[in-house]
Amino acid sequence: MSLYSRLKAVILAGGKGERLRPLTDRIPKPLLKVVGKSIIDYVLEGLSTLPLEEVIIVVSEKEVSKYVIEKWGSKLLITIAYQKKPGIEGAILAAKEFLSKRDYFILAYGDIIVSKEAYLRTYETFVNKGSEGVIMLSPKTDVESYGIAYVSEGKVIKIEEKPSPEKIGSTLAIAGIFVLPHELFEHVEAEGNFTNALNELARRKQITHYMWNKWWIDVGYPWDILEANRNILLEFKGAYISSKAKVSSKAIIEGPVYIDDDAEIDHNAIIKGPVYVGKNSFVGANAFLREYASIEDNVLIGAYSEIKNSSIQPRTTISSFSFIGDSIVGSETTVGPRTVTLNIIPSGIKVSRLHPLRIGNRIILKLGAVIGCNCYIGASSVLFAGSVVDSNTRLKPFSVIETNLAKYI
Amino acid sequence: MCGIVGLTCLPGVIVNPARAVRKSLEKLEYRGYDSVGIAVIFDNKIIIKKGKGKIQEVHSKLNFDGTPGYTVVGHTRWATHGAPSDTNAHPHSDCKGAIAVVHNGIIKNFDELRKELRKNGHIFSSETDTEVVSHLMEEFLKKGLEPYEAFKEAIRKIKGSFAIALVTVYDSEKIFFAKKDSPLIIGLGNGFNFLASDIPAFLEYTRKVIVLKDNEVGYITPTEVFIEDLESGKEVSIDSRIRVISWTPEMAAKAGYPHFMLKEIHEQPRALNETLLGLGKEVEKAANLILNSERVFIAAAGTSFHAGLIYENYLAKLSGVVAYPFISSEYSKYAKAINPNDLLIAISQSGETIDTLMALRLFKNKRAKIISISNVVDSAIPRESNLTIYTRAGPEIGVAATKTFTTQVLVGLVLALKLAELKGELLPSEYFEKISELGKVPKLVENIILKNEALALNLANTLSMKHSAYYLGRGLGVPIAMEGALKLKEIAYIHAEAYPAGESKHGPIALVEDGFPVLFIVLDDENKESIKGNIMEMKARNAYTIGLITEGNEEIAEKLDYVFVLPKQNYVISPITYTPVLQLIAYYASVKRGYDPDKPRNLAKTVTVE
Repeated sequence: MSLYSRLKAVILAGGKGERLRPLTDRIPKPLLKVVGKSIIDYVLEGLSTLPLEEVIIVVSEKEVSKYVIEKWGSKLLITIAYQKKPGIEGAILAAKEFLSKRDYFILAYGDIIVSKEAYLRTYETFVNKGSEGVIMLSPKTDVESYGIAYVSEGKVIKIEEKPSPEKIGSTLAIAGIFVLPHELFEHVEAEGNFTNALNELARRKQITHYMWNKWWIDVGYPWDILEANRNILLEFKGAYISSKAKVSSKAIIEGPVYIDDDAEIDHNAIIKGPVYVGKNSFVGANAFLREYASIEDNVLIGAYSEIKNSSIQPRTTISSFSFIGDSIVGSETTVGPRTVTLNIIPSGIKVSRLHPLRIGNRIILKLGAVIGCNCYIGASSVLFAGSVVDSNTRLKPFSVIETNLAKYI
Repeated sequence: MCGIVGLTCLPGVIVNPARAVRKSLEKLEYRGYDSVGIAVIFDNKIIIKKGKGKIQEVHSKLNFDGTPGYTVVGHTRWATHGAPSDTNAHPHSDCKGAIAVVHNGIIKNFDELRKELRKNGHIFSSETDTEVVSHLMEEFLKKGLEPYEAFKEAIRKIKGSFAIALVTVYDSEKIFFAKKDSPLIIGLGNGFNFLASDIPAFLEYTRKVIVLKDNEVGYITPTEVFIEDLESGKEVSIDSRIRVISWTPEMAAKAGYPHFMLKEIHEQPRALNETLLGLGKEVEKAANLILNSERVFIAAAGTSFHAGLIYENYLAKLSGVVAYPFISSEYSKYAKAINPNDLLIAISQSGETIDTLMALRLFKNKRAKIISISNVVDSAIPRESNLTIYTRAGPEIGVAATKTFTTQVLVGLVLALKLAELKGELLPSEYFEKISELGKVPKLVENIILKNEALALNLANTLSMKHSAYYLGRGLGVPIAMEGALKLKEIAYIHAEAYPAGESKHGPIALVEDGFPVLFIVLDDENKESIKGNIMEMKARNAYTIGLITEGNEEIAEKLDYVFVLPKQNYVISPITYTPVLQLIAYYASVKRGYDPDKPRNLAKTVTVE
């Protein structure tokens, strides 16, 4: 126990977030907002529950290191490592020089959103089990977009990365939290591939697992943000309204909500939780925020607009009389008045990690629009379900954007 | 039912004895968890800390660990006499506070004893049956008896079932114990000795154990163990009774899993393998006993009863023997019908299930032969049987039976095959071929769990919002459905009912409405076609149809809203391969609903109360 009492942790936060484009066009993936926090904050919160010596964060953009040091520098001993070579292998190797030989270390993906408990349990399993490493696993039906593990007699025996659907023999996804021996670096160097390196490790050493049984999200696609919003918002127990927020006495607030500092809710706005309203955001008169809306900071929601199950990233404006449903709107965008998103994907289109819903007897796939950063959507535009608007686009009024998910398939 | 622990040690041998007892009690929490308490002898006084609630809750209030002293008893309770409360929690004391007792079981004559003691001026502070023991002992001490003699006299007075541990300031290094019909085990150490209701409680400290028998009394000190038979007064030779437990200590802990139940579901491949490897001559002996008997009855309760139904099916289909399975607590109807040519198969995971034990005793009194199937070596039911076949599933801590069920089924399958061989219905070569095929089952189960865990979790998310469900099957699928429904009921608290699929038309279907979940167990057997019709009936009523099917049945899969496709297999092994999926569904439904699947409300792992 004392031997392992303080470990170092490595966070891999250098990914470009290609699959999250256009949301990541102007903001690095670790800094995208989910219910008031950046994605990487969730990872650091989890790690901060452990007795750590140091946290090494592998980044490829200065913005991330600046954010992390400002926010977490006083709580954790943070070292920034810059990723020079591409891929997860490049990220892992960038951390090598900061870890001493014989050490075990915690490896965490920088784009995982999960309860803090997951980090503690994985670490605890390592301490209690006396194994050479622990990998956290989480059951997922659509494993073809994750890495998967095969386990036998409590040990991890094999890893596969993004298996083809017909060959899937396990539904246990690698959940992005590990405790691993330093030896991993040798294997990554020798194999040139993280999956093979893990396999090599599992072949030589006793690698065990922690089986996570609650929600866990790898933010890979834009709609994963909605899934994360939903799960976090569902855990809200009551209503919290910051003493610095300004809520009109005529606004109606119902259900679990979190209204952050300096937010303003105007007359007759209706908020039906679970809903989050971020710092310094403004919700106009008669606006209607419905379940699973996450309005991040410095957002303006115009009068009479309705937002439901959507993520509105910081510094964006949704002008009056609009309807935004099941959509993700990037930062610094302006959605003109009377813009409407449609949200039922035509049947026959399969979208990775988007799960069908059963409503009555119908099975449907729900997704609104994915709008990039720094866009201007002209007034009275109609965005079809599954439409994607690239960053820096300026749409004329009365534009119609059709379903176009090709880039995600 | 309750769990009791006693520890007496030389100073310094175990750093914090109160903490050790608290941790041991945590391992026994499956035996009961509505209240908890400890008593420690320190400086010729007894310190009692107890309260209502789970161990962690009470511990955070009272800090058991901070109690000094080297003679400790502890108790975790499952209420029988007197509701769960701070005062009814054990240990119980006498009027002077010089004695503390913990007890598992029921004292049947406590009411009359209490009246008598009250007449003599004793003041009772709880509603429990247990408290009479400490006052009785106090009474005998008053009469001038030595502490141990007074304890024995007190035990002689009580009737019922009990495992008792008692400490007194008059003999502060000793823990007195007595056992009848409730389990009690001694763990032997160097400079310390343990007492506990179950082995995992002290596995961390010692693997040398003595499993006590009924009517044995005695005491432990840090360096000495004394056991005698209460009736004959004969001292028991310790050496011949010591057993070394081969389980590794972490087996009883859940490292790597959030719950014991999930761990035990995942342990099934190994448990099946070890059970298969562990089977020896006793199978043939059991098959011969069956062959030489006129009628075969099967007694079991709960999940074991579902295994019993599967045994019935195996015996009939594979070996042409008709058996009568019944739920143990219903044994009395056979009181006049049993004769010495009959045979009873008693199935009990713990080997302590009181209903099954009572059924067994009825058959035994009528001189019928008894074969028992149990997971706990030397437990009450095996001790009273002519022959026992053990499942080697290892300790099962989750209250809901998982690996013990599939291993019970495996034992039944091997037994039925052996019987078929003895009857000449299988050639010896065919028998060996079939047994070697069974060797592949553990790996098959492992693959099925890996492939279906996420599917089960997904379905559980849907089921967790429902109030009710049907589980339907035909043939061997019926007991599988019953077991699946029981799991959903007992840990996810969702009402679930199992029926033979053909029976659903005769009533149950009336309840089916839009979105009502109906889960079908579709085996690759002769019933496949008819179950298709049952699925269509349910679909026509807009039920949410779920199915477990085997590969190559796409036309059935198309009719289902949610489907688990298992590898092609001989339907005979399906109770072993299908059930883990149903266990996972129930597990994740329970977790999704925010419950603790290891400790379902109102249930205890081993039912030792009628």
